[in-house]
Amino acid sequence: MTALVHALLRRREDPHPALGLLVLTVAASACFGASVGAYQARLQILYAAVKMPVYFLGTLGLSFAAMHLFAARGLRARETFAVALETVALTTVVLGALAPVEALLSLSCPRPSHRAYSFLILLLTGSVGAAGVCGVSRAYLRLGSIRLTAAWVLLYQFVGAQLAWLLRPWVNDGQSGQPFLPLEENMHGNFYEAVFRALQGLFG
Amino acid sequence: MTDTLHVNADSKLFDRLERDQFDASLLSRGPFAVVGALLRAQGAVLRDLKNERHLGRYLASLGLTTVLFTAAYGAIMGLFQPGLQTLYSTVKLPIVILGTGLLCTPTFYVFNAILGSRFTFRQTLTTVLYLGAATALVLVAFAPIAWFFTVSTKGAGFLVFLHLLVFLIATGYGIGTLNTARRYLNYIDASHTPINGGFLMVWFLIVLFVALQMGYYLRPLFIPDAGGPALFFTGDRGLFFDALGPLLR
Repeated sequence: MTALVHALLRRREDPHPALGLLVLTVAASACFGASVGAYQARLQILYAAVKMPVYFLGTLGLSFAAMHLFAARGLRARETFAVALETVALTTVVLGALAPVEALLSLSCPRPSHRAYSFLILLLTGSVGAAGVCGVSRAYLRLGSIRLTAAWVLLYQFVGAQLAWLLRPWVNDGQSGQPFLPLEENMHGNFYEAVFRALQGLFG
Repeated sequence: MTDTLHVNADSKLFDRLERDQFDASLLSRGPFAVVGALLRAQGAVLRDLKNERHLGRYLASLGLTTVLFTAAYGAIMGLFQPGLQTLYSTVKLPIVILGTGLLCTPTFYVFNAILGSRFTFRQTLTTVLYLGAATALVLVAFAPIAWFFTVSTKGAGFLVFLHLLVFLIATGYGIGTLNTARRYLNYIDASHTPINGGFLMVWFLIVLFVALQMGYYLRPLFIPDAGGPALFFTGDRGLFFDALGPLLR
C-alpha cells in the first residue's frame, strides 16, 4: 500500500492497479470522514467514515458515463476509468493527509456553537477544495486537454455537490434529529446556498 | 547590484554549509550530540538527510531532544504554580510541540510529493523533527531567563507576554532554519526540489494554526486559574481565536 501511495503521489507513468486504488480511496476517505465526524463523536465518526467513500466513489459511478462521453475520442473506457480513478484516489489521499489536522479541530471545537460549526464547515469545504485542486491538476496532466479537464470538473462537481448534500449531515451541529441519513430533510435546499450561509455565520 | 550582493550572501552561506562536518556515529553516544550538529554543522546533517544516511539515529536523537528540551521549558512555565501543575506543564508542552509536528507531517509529505519531492516518509519525518528540535533548542536557551522572571514576578500578565515572546523567537528561528535547509537542499541537487518554497510558507501557517489550537485545547498551559486546583486537562472545547477576541478589543 505504501508503495502505491508513493507511486501515486509521484505521478509515475505505469498504470496503477485498479483494485489497489479503490482500496486506497476507501481507506483514505474513510479516515478523513471519521475525523470530520469526530465533532459529534461516537456513532457520527462511523457514519461519516462510511459516507465519505460513498460520496467519492458514488459521484465517480454516477458521472463516469458522461465523463467517458467527452473523452471517448481519444481514450478507451478502461483508460478513462484509470485516469478518473487515479484522480479520485489522489484527491482522497490528500484528504487523508489532512485528516489529523481536521481531527484535532473536530475534537477541540466547542459545541453546540454556531461559530465553531461554521468554521468546521468552511474547513471541510476548504480541505476538499485543496484536495480537489491536486486531483484536477493530475487529471489535466493525464488528459492533456484543458477543455476536457474542465468538462470533467464541471460534471463531477455538479453531481458531487448534490450527492454531498443528499448525504448530509457531515459535521452535524447536533440540532438535526436523524444523525445518519435524514433523506426527507435533505431533499430541500442546496449545497451552494449552505456554503454562503456558513460564511455569513462566521463573519456576521 | 542588489542581485549580485544577494548571490554573494547565498554562496557564502552555502560554502559554509558545504564545509560542515559531523560524525553521525556520535549520535549513538547520547541524545545531545545532535545539538552540536544543529548549532554548528547543519550542512552535514542535511547532506545525511538527503542521502538517507543514519536516518534512524537522527530520528531518535531529534525526537528525544525535542521532547526533553520542551519538557524543560514546560517545567519552568509550570513553576508559576509549583507542585502538581509544574509536572503537568512538563508533560504538556512536549505534547503540544511534538504533537503539532506529527499532526502536520502527513500534509507536508503528501503536498511536497505532489509538487515533485522524492523524499520518503522517513526523510520527511526527520525534516519535521529537525524543525522541532531547532525550535526546542531556542526554548531551552531562553529557559534560564524565563525561570528568572517566573520566580521573581507575581502577576501572570507579564509572564504571558514573556512566554509568547520566547515562543515567537523560537518559531521564527525554526522557520528560518527549515527555510535555509530547503535552500541548501536545492543547492546540493538542483534537479530535485525536496521541499517546495511556496508550499513551505503555507505549511508554516498550518503548523502555527495547529500549534495555537492545540495549546489552547490543552490549557491551562501558561497560567492556571489563580488559586484553583492543579488541572491537567479541563476538557473545555474552544477555538483559540475566540480567546484572542477580548485581547484585541
